[in-house]
Amino acid sequence: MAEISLQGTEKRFGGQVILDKIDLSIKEGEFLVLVGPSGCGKSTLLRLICGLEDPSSGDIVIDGSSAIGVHPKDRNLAMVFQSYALYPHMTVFDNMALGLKIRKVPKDQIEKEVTQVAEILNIKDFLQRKPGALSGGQRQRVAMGRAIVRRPRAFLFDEPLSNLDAALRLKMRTEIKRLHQELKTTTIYVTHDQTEAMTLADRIVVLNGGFIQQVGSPLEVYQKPANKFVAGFVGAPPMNFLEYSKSSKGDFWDNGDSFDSVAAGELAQGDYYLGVRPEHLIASKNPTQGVCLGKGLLEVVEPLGADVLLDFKLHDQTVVVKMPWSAEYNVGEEYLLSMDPGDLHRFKREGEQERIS
Amino acid sequence: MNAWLSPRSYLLWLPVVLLLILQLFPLYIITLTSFKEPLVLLDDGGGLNLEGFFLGNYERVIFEDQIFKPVGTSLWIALMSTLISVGAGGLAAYGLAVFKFRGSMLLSMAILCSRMVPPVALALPAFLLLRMFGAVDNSWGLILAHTTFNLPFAIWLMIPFFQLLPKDFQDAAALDGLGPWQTFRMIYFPLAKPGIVVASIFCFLMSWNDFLYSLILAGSDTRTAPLAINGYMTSDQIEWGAMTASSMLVLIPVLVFCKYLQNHLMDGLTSGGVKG
Repeated sequence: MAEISLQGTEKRFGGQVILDKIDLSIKEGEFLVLVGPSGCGKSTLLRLICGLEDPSSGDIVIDGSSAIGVHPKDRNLAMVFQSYALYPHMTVFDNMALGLKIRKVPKDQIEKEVTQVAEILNIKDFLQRKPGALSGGQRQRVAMGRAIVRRPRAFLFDEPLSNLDAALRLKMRTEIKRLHQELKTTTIYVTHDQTEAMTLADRIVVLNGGFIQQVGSPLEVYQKPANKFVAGFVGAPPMNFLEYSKSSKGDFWDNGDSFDSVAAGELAQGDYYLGVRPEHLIASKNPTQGVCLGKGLLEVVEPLGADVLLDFKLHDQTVVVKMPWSAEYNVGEEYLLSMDPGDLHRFKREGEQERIS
Repeated sequence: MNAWLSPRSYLLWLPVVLLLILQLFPLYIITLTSFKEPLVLLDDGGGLNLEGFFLGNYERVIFEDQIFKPVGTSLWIALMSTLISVGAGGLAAYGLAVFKFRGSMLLSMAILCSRMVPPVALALPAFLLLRMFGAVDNSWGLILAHTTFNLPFAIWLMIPFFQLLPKDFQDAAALDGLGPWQTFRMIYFPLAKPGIVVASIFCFLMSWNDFLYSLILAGSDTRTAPLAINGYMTSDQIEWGAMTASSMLVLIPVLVFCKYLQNHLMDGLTSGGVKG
């Protein structure tokens, strides 16, 4: 098990900055999830840690000693690739055993270790098959088995579930979590799927454009997003952002409707986003408790099963509301949209669009 | 109704049949002629009928002319040249395909350029060079000469096969602890087998069929099969019977070689190591 820390780690390709001075430390046994949109640098960060690429500047420290210039095989980290990268001409057994063979582990011990891991992952029956004869889920397990069997200091997962169908993804997600609880090995997991991030992580790192946007527990990131980007990225469906301004004449929505400033709190004059999560809004015909944002026109109803998504037009802006399932919502009718003022997020409209608490 | 036999399909079959005839007719004539008595051959002017089944041509080339000696020489030269070209070429192609370094593009272009020079232009320099090393009338002289034009071709042919393999294999191998040589030997070489088989067959055929270099560099001890076949064409006459019979016999090692590669190297190739 390893403690990994990035100290001012930077990566540039040509003139382009992929990762900008990243400072981050991963605790021993922690499950850290790097999440962000495509091209945010999360996979590059993983490749820097395992040594497949060298940082342009800064340091990477694994268990107290710098890993700069240390060959990937000597870092003793294992990676599970998005493509699985199983060797198609080798059997499952040979795929899993290769790393041990290269490290000159005795044959009978290799046999024992591979069988043991295959048992944990439920792939014992496929050991003599080649990857081509396996289903997507089974290949995924073999890829994980290959990583586990080496007993590395840390596991690095690069979007391991993105090639699986939805049902299998859910199953494997649970399995990865169970595995981490059993093995307690330091894990760094890259994904663009915020649900995966929320369910798996001890801590989430939200990346965008080569910068760390926020580091925190899933709950922290959900409840107190550091800026508009994080707020919009974490949570499904995403947070609603309503544009409004505060001036000497009062508070106004962007279409000119006036707004009860009590809800927005004590703010200086300027332009703001009001962030409201769909699950925190209540749509009703009659006034309810909390702050009322106004009367919205229901445009689309999307039933999800237990819940229903309602698309409203509110002050000429689109707002999504998630409510428990009910057949009472009729398209074309107007509803009052209200919420608990404690669930309201405020973000600046300029610069980094950071949160105002 | 069977779609393959509809009137429209006849039109599609026509060019196929024409091409097949063009391809197989010479082989048919060679086979037929090899079983004809020389006198019959003169009578019917190489006609398409087979009168009697004459094995005398084969007896002559096998026992009298000992055709298997030049066939053996050719086989040794072609196999060695193929082995060197594909072995060294495979390493070069892997390096050029997988590792990006300054001038790698230029280098792969330059390799191909050396193959663009007509072999005849290189024949004289090759002769002088090999004579300097005393390698004329020595099978190694021909092996080296064939390798000079097989190697660039093999490299050029195999580069795309290595390029097509996902880069993730390289990364996975590095994390498994494999060095560059182990990665090539254990991962890339077996996975590029289709390319290696194709390159081997082409190199073998180029060496096997080479006439020009054999004519210049071979001596009485290193006479190759094409030279032996050509030997039946003298200023006085062309011995069609012996020539076609020896041609038929020369075909056998080629067929065996290609079939061997197909059976023993192509099996066990399955996709599915990466997503899909």
